[in-house]
Order: sequence, then structure tokens, then C-alpha cells
Amino acid sequence: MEILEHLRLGFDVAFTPINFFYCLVGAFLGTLVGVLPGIGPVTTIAMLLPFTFKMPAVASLIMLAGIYYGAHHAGSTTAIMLNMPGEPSSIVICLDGHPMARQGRAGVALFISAIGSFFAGCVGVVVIATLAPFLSESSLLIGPPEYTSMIIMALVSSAVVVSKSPLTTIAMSALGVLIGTVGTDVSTGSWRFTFGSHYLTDGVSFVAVATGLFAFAEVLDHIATPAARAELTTKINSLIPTREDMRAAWKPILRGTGLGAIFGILPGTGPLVCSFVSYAVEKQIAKDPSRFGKGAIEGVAAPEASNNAAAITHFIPMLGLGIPAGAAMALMLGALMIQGITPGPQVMTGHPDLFWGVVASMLIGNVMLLVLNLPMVGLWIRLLKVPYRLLYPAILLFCCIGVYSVNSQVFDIFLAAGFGALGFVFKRLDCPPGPLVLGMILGPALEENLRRALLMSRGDASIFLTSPISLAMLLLAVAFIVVFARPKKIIKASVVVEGQ
Amino acid sequence: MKFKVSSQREFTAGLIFFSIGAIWLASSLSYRIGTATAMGPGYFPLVVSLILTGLGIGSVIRSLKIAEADVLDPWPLVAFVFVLGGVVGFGLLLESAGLIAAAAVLILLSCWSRLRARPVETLLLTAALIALVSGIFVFGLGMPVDLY
Repeated sequence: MEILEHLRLGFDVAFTPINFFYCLVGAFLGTLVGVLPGIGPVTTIAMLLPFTFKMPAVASLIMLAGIYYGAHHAGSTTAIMLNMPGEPSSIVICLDGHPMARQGRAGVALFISAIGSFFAGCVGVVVIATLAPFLSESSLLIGPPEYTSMIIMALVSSAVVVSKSPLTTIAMSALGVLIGTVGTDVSTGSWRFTFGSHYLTDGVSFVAVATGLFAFAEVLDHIATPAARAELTTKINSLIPTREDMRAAWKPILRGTGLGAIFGILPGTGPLVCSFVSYAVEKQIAKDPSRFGKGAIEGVAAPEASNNAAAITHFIPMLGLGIPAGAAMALMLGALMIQGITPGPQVMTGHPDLFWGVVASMLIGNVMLLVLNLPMVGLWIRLLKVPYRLLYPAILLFCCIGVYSVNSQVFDIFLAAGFGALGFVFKRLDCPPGPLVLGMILGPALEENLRRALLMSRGDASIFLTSPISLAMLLLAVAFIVVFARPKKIIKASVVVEGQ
Repeated sequence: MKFKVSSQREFTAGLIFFSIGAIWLASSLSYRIGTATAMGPGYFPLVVSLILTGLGIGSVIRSLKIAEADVLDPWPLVAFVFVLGGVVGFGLLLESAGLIAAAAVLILLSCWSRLRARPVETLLLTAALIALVSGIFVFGLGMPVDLY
């Protein structure tokens, strides 16, 4: 009963008062930024990163994860109530959730989406608990050559899935790796790429890069292109679904959960893809597909369940292989690195309290979200009207103080401003900053393992092809490029079909 | 431009990657490269910057071939200068003039375009935010920063 043992450890960790408190803070902040216009989970995590330095690793990751799924949950709420997807993966929820709200069934849609999420979350945790022992055993098989190939695979796969152009996104990863080489070379002790500045001898501050690329660039982008405002026109009547609703919804929830759990484990496919796929599946097997888009409860239940299941099972590739789904998770990996924890299969064996504590806290957080959201949904929705012009000076100020507080170095503020300019330029050029951050996080480990692998093989690069695991990783990377270099057909097709 | 660039975004991105890669390549060469068995500090950056330079060239070539035209939006220079100027101003003033002055400069500069249209709101916001961060960071968390 190793599984129960792990889960018990997880809940023991998650229920300590301090972790419970940070879980609540995370869920609350996540919901808040999920409904506030112009500030999302990525900006929030970037903004709070400096303050997680002084927190224990478990508590900081629990809080950041709370922000992530809290914002996600709030994204579905605004999708249903206002037809405004707070997060990309809630676009699907708009399709049937908002029509339901217009028919006066907003409460039911919210309730089904919450129940679906919670159920899927529970299943996701069980899936992780079942698979984890295999993963931690596999960590014994991973030596420097395998680790090198794994990082290359992680960088390539997380780059190509987000891109319009695979070349420029892989270039972003490479640029991140280069930025990671700035500072003192670990094995020779000499300074590299410090450009004559002694501020850079410890490397480029990760917090400065994250703040610049995500928070500052985001602010600049929002001021330049003001977002559309939405008016609240729908009201919530009853939260409790009828027996018929439940009968229509439970199977889609099961199917969505299954799909999501599988998609989450596959590296590189985020919640976005799986919510589209599960929506398409429901529509395919429905007796009367014409109801979809007009308030079909299945169209809310299945995608919501699937992307929540995926968000949880995604912790396996994220912590186990270092492959995050999207920028928010990349920043969470960064927070782990700051705490001195390198992603890889050894995370589960080396830091079981962290892994299981965070997983358990996600379930607790989901319950908190139910309590936090359903009774107060009207209150949250009202926050949508806070004008952005009042928000962004606060974001800027908090970021500046945060960046400075890490090393008490003014230089880091200038660095963040520089990366803000760079990030804004890249945003305009459709180059996503996520791969750059991941490259910066994984780059030093890549260099170190490459060095060791070639030392082991006496300089013979064929070691990466003769080790079966390493070969498999590299082939997987090639497969990712081949599959994703073409336009994303699944997403495009389903968007076209729904006419959105 | 002489060529017909169909994707301005990819073209510009390619140029940026190529230039950064080339700069990094040149400075990698100034460190000891070493061999595959005994890598010097320059070895790994040299390899990666070669890759980056190559990807930059690849993007430029690809941008000439893409079918759908993709033109860059105009750059919002005013927002750019005032927001980042505010951040730099904050950095310049923080240690010499203290948190209050630095924060005021940051907020007023980044709100510059609205200062005349909504002077009262902007000034109130400035005062409120300064009070808030002083309370949280200096008095609450004991951050070693002078207020003025």
C-alpha cells in the first residue's frame, strides 16, 4: 500500500497550518487575478517570485500552484458569466457555458464545472500516486548522457508546442540557455559573459528576467492594446443541478477526466489541447450534436473535467522530466530551482514531502475554491470592472521592490527593465518567452551533464545514441518537431467547426 | 527593402537571434574552448551560440517563403519610454533618495499620459500605493530601505 502511504504523507504535509495557509492565500490570489482584467497567473507568479525566496520550498510551490489553478477556475467563471475566457483553456467553456448562463442556468453551469474539476482532480491524484513509483525507479537509470538528452527533449518539445514558427521558438530556448551561461563557470571557476560587470558574476538574476519578460512586457502590451470590456448581463438563480442535468453530465465528466489524465502525462500537450479534444469527442458521440453551442451541459462538464485532470497529472512530466505546460509552470520550475531543487526523476525520491504535499494541496485547494467561489461569485465578477489604469502602477511598483529585495541590488532593476523591453519586442514578434525561461532554468544542468557524459565516453558523442533511453529521448524530440512543425490541426479544426 | 519579406515578424526575429548569436559566438571565442573531454568555459556557449545563429539565419530564410503576409503593428513608443523610464527612474532614486521619491517617480511617469486628464485620481493613487508599500515592506517585512 505504497500509494496510500504517499497520499498520507502528502496530506500530512498539506494540512500543516503554514502550508494550509499558503494554499488558501494561493487559491484566493489566483481567483482574484483570474477575474481582475489584464493581470493573469503568469504575471502574478512572476511578481511574487522574489517573495518566495524566504519561504520553505513546499509552501512556496503550494502557493504558486494555488495561484495557477485558482486563476484557471476563475477563468471558467468569467467564461460562463461573461463569455470572456480568462485563460486560453477556458475558451471552450465559453461555447456552451455562456449560452447556459443566458438561459438563466449560470448557477448550474458553475456548479457542474466545479464538481467536474474536483472529481477530475481526485482522479488525477490517484493516477499520479499509481504511476509515481515507476517514475522514481526509473531515476536510477538516468545518468549524464540520458539527462542531457532529456533536457534537450524538454527544451525542444516545450518550444515547438507553443509556436507558430518552430524555428523562432527553439531559438528562444537557445537564447535562454545562453543567458544561463552568464556568470561563473562551475567547473573552471572563470567568469564568462559578464561584459565587464561584477554584478553578473553570480549569473543573470532569474527574478529579474521573469519580472521583465512577463510582468513588465505584459503591462506594456496592455497599455498599447486596451482589452475589450464586458458587461455583466446574466444572473445566477439556482446552483443545484436537476437530476436530469446530473444524468447528462456524469458520463462526460468521466470521459473528460480519462482523456485529461492521459493528455496530462504526455509531455508538451497542455490543458488547452485536451479541453478542445474532449469537447470535440463529446460532440462526436452526442445523439443530437446540434445542441452544442447552445448550452449543452456536456460541453461544460467534459472540457472542464479534462483540463483539470490534465493540470494535475501534468506534474509528472513537469517535475519528473522538467517539461512545463506553458509559462506559468515554467516559472514554478524556476521557483523550485531558486530553492535548489532540480527537476528530474529524482524529485519524487529526493523530496517526497514536496511532491506529495503539493499534489495533496491541489485537492484541498480545489475544495477551497468551491467554498470561495460559488457563494461569492457575484462579488468576484464585480472586480472585472476595476480599471486597468489603477492596477498597472501597483504591478510595476510591486515588481520593482520585489526584484530589488532579492539581492538588494539596484542593478537587477535595470536588468528587469532591459528584459521588459526585450520581452515586449519578442511579444510583438510572436516569440513566446516561456521557452527562454525554461532554457535559462535547464541550461546550467544541460552544460554540466553534457560535460560529464562526454567525459565518460572520452569525447565520443555517439554515447547519446547508444544508450537506449537517451536515444528514445532524442527520437521523441525529433518526433515533436515533425508533428508540431505543421499547423495545429486539432485546435484549428475544432475552432472552425464551432464557428468561433 | 529589396527582397519581398512576407513575414516581417519572423524576419525581424531572425535578425535579432542572428545578431545575439553572433555577439555570443565572438565572445565565446575569447574564452578557452578546450576539447570534448576537457571542456573549457567557452566550449558549451560556442556550440549553443552556433545553434542560435543558425536558427536566426533559418528564420530569415523562412520569412521570405511564408505565403501569408504578416506585417508588424506600429510600435507604441510613448508607453514604452514612460513605463520603462519609470522603472529605471525607480532604480536610480531608490538608494539615493529613498523609497517614497522613487515610487512617486515610477508611478507618475508610468501614468504620465493620464496625469492631466485625471490629476486627482492619479495623485491619490500615488499616495495610496506609497503608503501601502511602505507599510508592507518597510514596516511589515523590515526591508532595509530608507523611506526618504
